[in-house]
Amino acid sequence: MKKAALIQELIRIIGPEGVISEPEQLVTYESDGLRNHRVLPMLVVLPVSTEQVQAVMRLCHAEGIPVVPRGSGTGLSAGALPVSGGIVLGLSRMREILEVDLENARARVQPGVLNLWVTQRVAPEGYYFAPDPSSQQVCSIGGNVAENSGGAHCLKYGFTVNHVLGLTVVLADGQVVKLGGKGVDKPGYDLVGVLVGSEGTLCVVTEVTLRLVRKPEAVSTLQAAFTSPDAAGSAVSDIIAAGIVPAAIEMMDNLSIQAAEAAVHANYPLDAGAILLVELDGPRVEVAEQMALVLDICERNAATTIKLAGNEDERVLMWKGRKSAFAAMGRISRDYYVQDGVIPRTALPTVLREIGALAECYGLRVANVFHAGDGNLHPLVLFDSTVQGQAERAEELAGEILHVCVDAGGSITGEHGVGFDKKRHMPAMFAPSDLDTMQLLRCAVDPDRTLNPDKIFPTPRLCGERPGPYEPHPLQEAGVADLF
Amino acid sequence: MEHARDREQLDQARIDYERTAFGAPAHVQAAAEAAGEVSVRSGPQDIGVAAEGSGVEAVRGGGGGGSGSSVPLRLFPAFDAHNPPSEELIDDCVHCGFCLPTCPTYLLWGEEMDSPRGRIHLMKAGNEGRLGMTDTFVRHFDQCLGCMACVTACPSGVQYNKLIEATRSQVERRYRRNPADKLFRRLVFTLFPYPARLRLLAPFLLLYRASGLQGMAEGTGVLDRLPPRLRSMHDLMPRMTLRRLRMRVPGRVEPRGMARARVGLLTGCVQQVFFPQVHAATVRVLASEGCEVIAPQGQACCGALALHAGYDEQARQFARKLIDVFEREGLDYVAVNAAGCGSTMKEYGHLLRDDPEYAERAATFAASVRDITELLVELGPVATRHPLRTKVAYHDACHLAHAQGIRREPRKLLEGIPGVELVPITEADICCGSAGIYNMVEPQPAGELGERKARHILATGARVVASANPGCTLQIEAHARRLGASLKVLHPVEILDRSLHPRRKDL
Amino acid sequence: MSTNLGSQSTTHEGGRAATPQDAVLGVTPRMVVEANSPVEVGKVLAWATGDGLKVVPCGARTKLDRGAAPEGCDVLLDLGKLNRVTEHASGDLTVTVQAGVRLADLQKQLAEAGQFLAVDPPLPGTVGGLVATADTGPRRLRYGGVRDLILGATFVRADGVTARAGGKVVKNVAGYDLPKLLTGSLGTLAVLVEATFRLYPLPASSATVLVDVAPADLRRHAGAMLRSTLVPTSLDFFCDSPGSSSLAVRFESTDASTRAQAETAAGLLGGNSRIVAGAEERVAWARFDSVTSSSDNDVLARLVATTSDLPGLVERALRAADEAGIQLTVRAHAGHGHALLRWHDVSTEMALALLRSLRAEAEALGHSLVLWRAPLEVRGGIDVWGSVGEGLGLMRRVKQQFDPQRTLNPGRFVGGI
Repeated sequence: MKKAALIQELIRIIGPEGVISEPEQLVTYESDGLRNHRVLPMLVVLPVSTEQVQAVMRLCHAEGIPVVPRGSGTGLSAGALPVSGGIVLGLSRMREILEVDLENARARVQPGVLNLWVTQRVAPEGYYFAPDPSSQQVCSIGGNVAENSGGAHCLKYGFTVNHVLGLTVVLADGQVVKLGGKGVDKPGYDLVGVLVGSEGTLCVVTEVTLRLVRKPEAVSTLQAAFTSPDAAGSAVSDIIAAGIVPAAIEMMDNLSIQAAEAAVHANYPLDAGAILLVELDGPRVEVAEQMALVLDICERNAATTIKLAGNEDERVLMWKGRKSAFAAMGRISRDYYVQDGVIPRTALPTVLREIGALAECYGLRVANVFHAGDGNLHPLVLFDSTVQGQAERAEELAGEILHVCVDAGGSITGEHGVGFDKKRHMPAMFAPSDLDTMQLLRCAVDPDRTLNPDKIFPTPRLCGERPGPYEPHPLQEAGVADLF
Repeated sequence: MEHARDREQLDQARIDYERTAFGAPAHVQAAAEAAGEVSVRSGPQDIGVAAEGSGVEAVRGGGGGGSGSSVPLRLFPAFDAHNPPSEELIDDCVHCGFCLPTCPTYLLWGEEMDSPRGRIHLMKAGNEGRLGMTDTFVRHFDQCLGCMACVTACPSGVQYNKLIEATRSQVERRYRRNPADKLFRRLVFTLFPYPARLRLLAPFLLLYRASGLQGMAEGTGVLDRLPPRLRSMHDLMPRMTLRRLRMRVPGRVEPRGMARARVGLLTGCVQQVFFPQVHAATVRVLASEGCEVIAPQGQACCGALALHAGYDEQARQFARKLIDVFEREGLDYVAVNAAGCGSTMKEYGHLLRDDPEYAERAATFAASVRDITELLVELGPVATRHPLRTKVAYHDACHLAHAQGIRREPRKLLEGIPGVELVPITEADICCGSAGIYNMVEPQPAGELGERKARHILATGARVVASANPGCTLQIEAHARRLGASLKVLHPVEILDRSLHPRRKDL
Repeated sequence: MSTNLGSQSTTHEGGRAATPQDAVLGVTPRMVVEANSPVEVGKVLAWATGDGLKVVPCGARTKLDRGAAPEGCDVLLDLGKLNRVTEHASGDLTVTVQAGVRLADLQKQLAEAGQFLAVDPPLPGTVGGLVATADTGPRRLRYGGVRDLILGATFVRADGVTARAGGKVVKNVAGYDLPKLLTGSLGTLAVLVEATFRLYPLPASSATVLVDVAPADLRRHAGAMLRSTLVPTSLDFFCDSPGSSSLAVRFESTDASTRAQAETAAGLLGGNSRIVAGAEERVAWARFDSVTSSSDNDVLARLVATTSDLPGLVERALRAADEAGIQLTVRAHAGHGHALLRWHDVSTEMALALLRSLRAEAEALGHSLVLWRAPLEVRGGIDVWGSVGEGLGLMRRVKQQFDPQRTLNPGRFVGGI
């Protein structure tokens, strides 16, 4: 189909206001939150209903046009990077909260609804939506589902997948399937569980049933400064060992403190080697008892200053610094590269030392922001792209850091996803047979690789192949494709 | 097979892009080629769509622009060298998207190119010579309300205000608008910034309403046949009264009690003619709070309307004149009761930075500018507040809340009045759609935003709205009317005035 | 020892001939193979798939009667010897454990470090069985299901290839989350050999508020608990004879908080509510647990619904049983919408009638009734699983990719998968 005819067809499906085809407009979709990669899409479509998504998918599937779903475009792994000659399916206009059912503590929403809107909607009734990625004011539920987003509070409350009970999905061929619902553990395969976090490679999500959580009776937030990340890390270990499951434990090193302070004036001590934010929530008595323990632990680990948030404003301010830490790096460095690795929490001191040594070796600064409770590390590699070669070195260093994480028994991504950016690191963590097995799912759902191709997997599996006696695939023989 | 398909699509995408990406109309390119100036297509070009093989252009570095985006054609780049949007300011943007949900046009349409992040991306592409100043390119800047909510939301401190001003200035200088658009804009800019001209118009507005002609027009549906922009202007028309028509601000008013400060008052353009009662209230309140109030003769528009629309030269002229007039008076403060004017006057230092004669004076002047609510809170209350039993919804004017960062002061002022119950408005951060001349030049989105705002305000149950900007006041009144509701929209200083001078008039 | 498998003349090292005691829902396997290592699991499966044999994996055999009877069973693959706790990273609150480890043994070991795997399924067997069935108990309310606790898995595909997905850390989004796909798949996609779970600290104390609640009042009382800011770890309703039913709300936290919450809850619930702890509490819960100790002529089923619909369904089931003169024991997890129902000593026709009408009501609301245990004649008259909705086609496609020759547990799962 010629492009003009395709546009006509899409306009027939969605209407002219939902089809973006001019280069001056398409250019703004060439990257998501990660600007390191850019591809100009052929077209962008902005449907408003499941039916429209279905019609677009049918058309694209029939025409062999790749489709890349996109939410708010805040992802940091180039998961919504367009495919050249492909279509970007933006879900930013599907933003209705369709139903709030407080008796079952559920909300049914469209994928373009922003994460924070859900909480804003149910807060007056004393409920909230627990996953709170730092970008919660802008990231969409659809994006959260695609990336299985976490956030500061996932140590206690889990990730997006733990809060998604039902999905309406449109498959690559346009088939609409409702999965799960308001109940939990329905019989059958947990397709919802595996579609969450599939980074838009298996389906387009058009409705999501979310779990809402009752607001806790009490929340208590403590900010403690330490002379070094090691000291702060040791305090974290003691907190965990004391049998406390905090709602969140966040650690920021000195560079991150500097940046956050410059951006939002959160009253962080500028000379601290590291600060910890520890938040406890739950029944008042439990929180009070455990916070006393935490205070004690911080003192025992030689905290230089300890501050308890006296009211909601102070608490919000403590968090504001943390939540804007990434973007605030712009204040202390021209450019930065956000890395997202996971380590077993107890390996923190070793890993931080290795990162420090690597940084020195590369002659670059690395700031560390750390979800200390669950081991999710966000090293921010600072660099200046106007200096010849520095950008390349920064990227290389960021890659090395991932290998340190994997060697420590961790993961190459805790919440940002693999996307396009990190697929080359997948073999560091998974054997060829692991990757091959994951792609069985892709072959089951989207064998033609219509949806978000060239993400997650370094080498696509040829779905024509079947397990069993080895038979070389024709493409493989022709030297066009690789087989594991 | 798959690869072959990709390849083909890649090539097609490349061709499509090359055909259309550079903005210059084909005939202009052809003419240029014929003139031998430039070879438009001198061979295979990497046009920033894709690198060989992967189909992905790897750009090194977060903000670099970098190696992948080679610039193929600078024949008709969007911007010229005279103050294009600063590359350095653009690079402050890390593409995090925190601005998206605060942007009124993104809220309406959910489109990247109508978001601050998208617009900055367009500026960058313009600077790189990847885009030309085409209709589409310009449209997305025209659609920006300039509300600066994105500036508040930005964690990286991107100065979008400076970026959009620079872009608009380039647009007005370099882009050829269609004749009707041009005429309409000229009408707006030859009318609004000039109080004398507005004053000529005012009696006709009064007559139109008093004669019953307005009622007839609204009854017959003849208005629906007006072009949208004129229709919008009509609906926003302030309700003139004979009293307002005759009101003038006195040149000097003595303070009550001991003088605490000598304060100059900007009388401005629209406020002076259509909202003289706000000036009257401002003068009375300032005097009661112990200020000597000077309204210098010969002052005119502050240049805000012009500046926000990209007519920066006109704006500079207004600014110089205003500085001249106020400097002579030896003032402690210059008080402003229109948010849009205040935010511009506070930026005079930047506006006149290249003017050797005025640069320093402008900075000094800017430092003395205060919004009236800001000034009153800074000085602290002395006059007695009498109770007013009413529920007030406070509306954040964008140029107060976002451009000047003033949110607390007006609320504090109102909360200081016994009996006033201040209620929050949902989506307080989102613009009402007024935005200077925006509701006249972009009536459709402005109308949607106005209605949204009016609904949120009505939902509070308050029937009195405090609004510190004349544009917002007109917009909110108009949309409440359209929804069949009546709201009393007052400047915070008018509400305070009634508390300080209880016999004047009840709310 | 080698065993000859007749016509296919295939043998496998370490296998033994099966006996009638090895039967899976009436299907007697041809042989039983005990795997000594994950590698051996791979060899068995490669061999079985290569020769077109059918395999039923098992552990402690506590839930071998789950699902429908397999279409065939050549090999009963016993994973009981994969019983190593590979790594308990107590500082990281994770444990990596082989599939054959008994849950009770695991909990004992974890308790030494003051931690536990936060599951309390009604029929505890091995870790493999836990993942295969995704069974949960009352504490699902507070800690989530098996899907919410599993972090990583090593498994052997039907073709004998060993693969791994997920990770050993609490947070990880690299690649597809296959451990979740395997959870509750009843061993139809792959054979789990090792899994990593997140752990929780053992709470310091426990107390339970008991109150008599009529079925008709369950929704109101459960709602009051759920709307409050209390954090109960269990919220169970129990009824074993008409006119005698109660609600148990358990709190597990620090001593002071447990006490404070229990007192608040007792206040909210009113009536004859009382707080029990220690031995008295254990006795109370043991009574609730009795729902699964069914005898041969009993029928046991699980209702999977929502918090709001569960009480109504339970009430109707109780009424129907009462009218039929059948004793029905119900244990409902009122906080998360699940219930176990046990009809005592019920005839085949009556059982089928009761099951069909309850299932019809449940499915009309979008919920499920799954048969857990029943005499073979009852099983013969009803689909064990019932409808699973629109997702079945997709589930079949997944099965087709993972196990195209239907080696693993053929026919046992939903829709005949």
